Amino acid sequence: MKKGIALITVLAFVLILSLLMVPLYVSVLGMTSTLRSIQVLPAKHEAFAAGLNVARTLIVNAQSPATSTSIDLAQGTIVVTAYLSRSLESDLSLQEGQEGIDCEETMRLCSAVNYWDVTVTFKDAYTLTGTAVQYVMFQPDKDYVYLLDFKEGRK
Amino acid sequence: MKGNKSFKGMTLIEVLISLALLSVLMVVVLFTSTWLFTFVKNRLIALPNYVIGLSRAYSAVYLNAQDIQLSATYSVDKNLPSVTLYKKSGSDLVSNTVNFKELIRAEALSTATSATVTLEVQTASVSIQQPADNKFLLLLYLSIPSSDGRRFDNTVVIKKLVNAAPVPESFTRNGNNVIVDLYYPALGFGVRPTGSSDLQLVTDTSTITTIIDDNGVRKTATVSLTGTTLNGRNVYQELYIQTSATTQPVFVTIPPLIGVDGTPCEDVTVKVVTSP
Repeated sequence: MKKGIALITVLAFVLILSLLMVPLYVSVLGMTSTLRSIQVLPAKHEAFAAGLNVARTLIVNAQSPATSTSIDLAQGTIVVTAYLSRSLESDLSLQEGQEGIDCEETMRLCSAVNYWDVTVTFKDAYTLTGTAVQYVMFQPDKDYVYLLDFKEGRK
Repeated sequence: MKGNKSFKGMTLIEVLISLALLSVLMVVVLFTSTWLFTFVKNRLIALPNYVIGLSRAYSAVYLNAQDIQLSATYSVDKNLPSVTLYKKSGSDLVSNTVNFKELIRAEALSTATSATVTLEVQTASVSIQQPADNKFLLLLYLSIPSSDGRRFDNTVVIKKLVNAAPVPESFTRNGNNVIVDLYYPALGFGVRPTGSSDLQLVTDTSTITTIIDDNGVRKTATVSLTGTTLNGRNVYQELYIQTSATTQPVFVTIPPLIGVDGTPCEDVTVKVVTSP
C-alpha cells in the first residue's frame, strides 16, 4: 500500500516537472530560433567589412588583371575577387629615362588609375559588388585604393 | 481512568489543531504555488516576446545600418534621431532619411506585445553617438523598458565602408579643353599645408594645373570645379580644364580633391581617354 502511494507521488512529481519543462522548452526554442535568424546580420556586416579590407590588399598586390582569394573567418568563409575593368595610362613613358618602356610587360608601372570590379561573397550566399579605384604610386604600399558604390545582392 | 480520559481529550484537540494548522498550511501552499506558477508562466511566455521584440528592433536598425555603411556620405540628427544618407544614382547623389525612433515604434514591436509582461514600446528609445575622432563610425543605442520594470539595451555599431572619392569617371573634350566627370562630387580642391601630410580643403574653385600635349610638352592650364548643392553645401561634379594651348592635351594632371565625406584624393596625371 505504502509502495503504491510512493509510486503515485513520484509519478505526480514527474508529471508536474514535465508540465513545467514544456513551456520552458518552447520558450528556449523560440528564443534560439529567433536569435539564429538575426545573427546573420552582424556576421554579414563584419564579413563584408573584412572582405573590403582584403580587397584593398588584393588590389594593391595584384600581378594580373584577375585576382581572387578566400579567407575563413569565424563568421564563415569569404571569397574576394577583383577584375581590372579599365585603366588610365600614366605619363611615365614621357618621363626622362623611361622612353621605350614596354607597358604590356609592366602593367603596374604604366597605369596611373586602375578601375577594379570587386565581389565579396560570404558563405556562398551573400554578395557585395562594387567598384574600387586604385591610384598607382611608385610602391604598392603607397597606393591609394578607394572603395566606391558597393551594393549587396543575394545569390 | 480520569487521567486517561483527559489524555484522550487533549489528543483530540491536538488533532483538531493540527488539522487546522494543516489547512492553513495547505491554503498558504495553494496560494504560494499558484502565485509561483503564474510568475513562472508569465515570464516563460513573455520571454520569447522579449527576444522577438528586441530582435525585430535590432534587425530593423541593422538593415538600415547597412544602407548607411554603403552610402557615400551621411548627416546625423541626434534629436530625432535620424540619419540622412546619400547614395549614388547615375551621376547624382540621392538622399534617404532613416528615422530610427519611428522605425522601432512603427514596425518592429507592434505585434510583440501580447504577453502578460509587455515591452513599453512608447517609451522605447534609440540614440545615436558619433565619435569625434572617427567620422566613419556611428553607435546606435537601443533601450526598451518592460512593464515589470526591467530594461533591455542593445548597441549597433555602424562603420561606413565606402569612400566618396572624387576620382575621374569619364572625359569629354570641348575644343582643346577637357571636362572630367567625377565619380562622386568634390567639396573642393585639397592643399597640403607646409609641414603637414594631410590634405586640407580650400574654398577656391580654380587653380593651375599641368597638361601635356602630343609633343610631350608640359604646359599650364586653369582648372575649375562646376556643380550643384547637396544638403545646403556646394559640391562639384565636374572638373573643367581650360587651356590656351593650340593643340589638344594628351595627358592632364587632376589636382588633389576632397570628397563629400572628407575622403582626400591625391593628384594624378592621366591620359585623356574620351570613351571609357
